[in-house]
Amino acid sequence: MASNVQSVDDASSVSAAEAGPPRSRRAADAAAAKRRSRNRKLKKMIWPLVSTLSVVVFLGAWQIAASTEAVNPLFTSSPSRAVEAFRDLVDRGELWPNLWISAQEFLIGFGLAVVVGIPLGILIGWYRPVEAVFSPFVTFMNSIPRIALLPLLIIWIGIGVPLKITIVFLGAVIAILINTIAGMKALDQQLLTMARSFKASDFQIFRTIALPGSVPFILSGLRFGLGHSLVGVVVGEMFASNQGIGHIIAVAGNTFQTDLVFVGVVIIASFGLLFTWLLARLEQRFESWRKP
Amino acid sequence: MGIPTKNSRRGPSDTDGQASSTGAHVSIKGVSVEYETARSGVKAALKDVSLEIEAGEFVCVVGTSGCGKTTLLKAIDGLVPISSGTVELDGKKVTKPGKSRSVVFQAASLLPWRTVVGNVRYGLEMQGRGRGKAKDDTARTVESLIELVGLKGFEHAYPSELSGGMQQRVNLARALACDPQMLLLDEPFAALDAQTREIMQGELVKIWGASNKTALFITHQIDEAIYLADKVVVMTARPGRIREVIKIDLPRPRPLQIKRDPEFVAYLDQVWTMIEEEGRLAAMRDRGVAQH
Ligand SMILES: Nc1ncnc2c1ncn2[C@@H]1O[C@H](COP(=O)(O)OP(=O)(O)OP(=O)(O)O)[C@@H](O)[C@H]1O
Ligand SMILES: [Mg+2]
Repeated sequence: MASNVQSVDDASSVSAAEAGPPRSRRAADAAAAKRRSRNRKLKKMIWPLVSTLSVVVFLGAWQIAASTEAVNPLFTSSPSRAVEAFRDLVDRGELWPNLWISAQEFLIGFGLAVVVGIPLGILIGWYRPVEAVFSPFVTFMNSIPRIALLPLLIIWIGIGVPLKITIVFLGAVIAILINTIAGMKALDQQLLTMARSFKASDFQIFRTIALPGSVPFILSGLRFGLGHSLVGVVVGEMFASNQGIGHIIAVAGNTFQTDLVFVGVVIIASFGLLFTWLLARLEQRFESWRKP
Repeated sequence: MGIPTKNSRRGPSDTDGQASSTGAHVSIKGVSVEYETARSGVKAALKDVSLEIEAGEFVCVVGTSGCGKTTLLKAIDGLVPISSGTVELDGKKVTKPGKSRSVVFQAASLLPWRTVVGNVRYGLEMQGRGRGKAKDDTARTVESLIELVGLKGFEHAYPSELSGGMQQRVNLARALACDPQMLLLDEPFAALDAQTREIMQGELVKIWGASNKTALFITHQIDEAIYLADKVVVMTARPGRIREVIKIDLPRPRPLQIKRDPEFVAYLDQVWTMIEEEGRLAAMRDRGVAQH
């Protein structure tokens, strides 16, 4: 047995040895390889660098345009004015309490959506009867913008933190549900046949094929859900709240404080970026087997 | 040469003691299989196929592409419903996949999220083997099979990191791991280079010879079929019928040089002529169909 394995290896190593270059050329090749790998690294770095530069140029131009009053800073604000407004906000002690409220609404709402959406999506995707029961509601909820339910929700639960949690939840849970269901249904037929040929039970197929196969779908559900959640927080706070970052943005807008509006927008954007990054990390963890 | 006796067919490894299962006798009587297609309704893939496969026999199936070879293999495994006729395995009717058979699929059908080791173990796992006391045994089996198919050093690689031929060898190892009475192989070596292919052919014959397994082996390579088989089954073009069963009376073990033997070449001519004729007939029929 072993001797034959050897010969498989030999087959490939022989051809490699034949092509083996003399020592000097090998050294030159190594140097070339090093150069190539350095070039590759440079190439990898160059695009983020260009992106950074592009942002810096944009901010610089904005700043200059505002400082020289080429545009009216009352309307357009400027990076330095926004920083000033941010400091003000911190000094007045209004940043952290509001940020904390928004973060709470987002984290609890999104967390609940994950805890409910993934298992329910798996059940709906796997069991036909469960699907029959839930799919009309999922379809209905998916086809209306959840924000349209805001007036109804205000009547039911008032304008406190629970309202925003509900909106965030509703926004995220549908996206997570729909993607998880799609993932459970997108079974690779060839893998399914293979599993059946090995006498895999339904539960084994579920555990070894459906579940791992749906991971990419679930992750993209989380990504969509994240976007919906952020919209939920901001819009909920704008229309029905007296605290939170969304509320700050709304008040600043109504009172013509463009600088403060920008501060609020940037805070929300940072929040979104942070979570997108966390999700990307999660994705890497789960999908080490998927090569680009 | 005469009809070889059981002993002369077997290689010297007959006494290896590796044999853990005795081959299965397969009796196929008047089997037809139909597929339902979305556009053209019911389509016959196999028509009235009858074939006896003795226990421990190595049978190769050749025929033009689309003639129903894979369908025949699936019918024997119980993976497709049979519209008429019966498949019996050691006198028992086959209706669904069983532990006594393992399939090497035409497409590698590996789980992309499992490493080579995880994929090779898959069949054993599904059959509830490799747990508890048998755990170490299983690990050893898996390891030696990975070595056998020439993938030592790739144990922890994911399928996406393997070439097509390497994936196909994992597919083979997975089927062998279950140590079935009957191996069903669907063009297992089609993706391999000529050299590796011959090595794998040798290994397969050795395993088969040492363990009394029955083997059904589909291939497009006529010389491969004759080299491996006790019996070559030539199928007609679609819908598949059996055109001829040719007994290969070449002594075993068969050295590679046998492929230049006049007797071997005569078999080659015989099979080649039939397949060519079938190909021509099918092409004519397709043209006829196109005209109507
Ligand atoms: N799942 C399916 N649904 C509908 N038709 C099918 C299905 N599988 C196979 N067929 C049809 O049945 C016929 C036989 O298919 P089969 O896969 O058995 O051919 P084959 O001999 O294995 O061909 P190849 O050598 O190309 O692998 C083909 O004409 C094909 O179109
Ligand atoms: Mg086929």
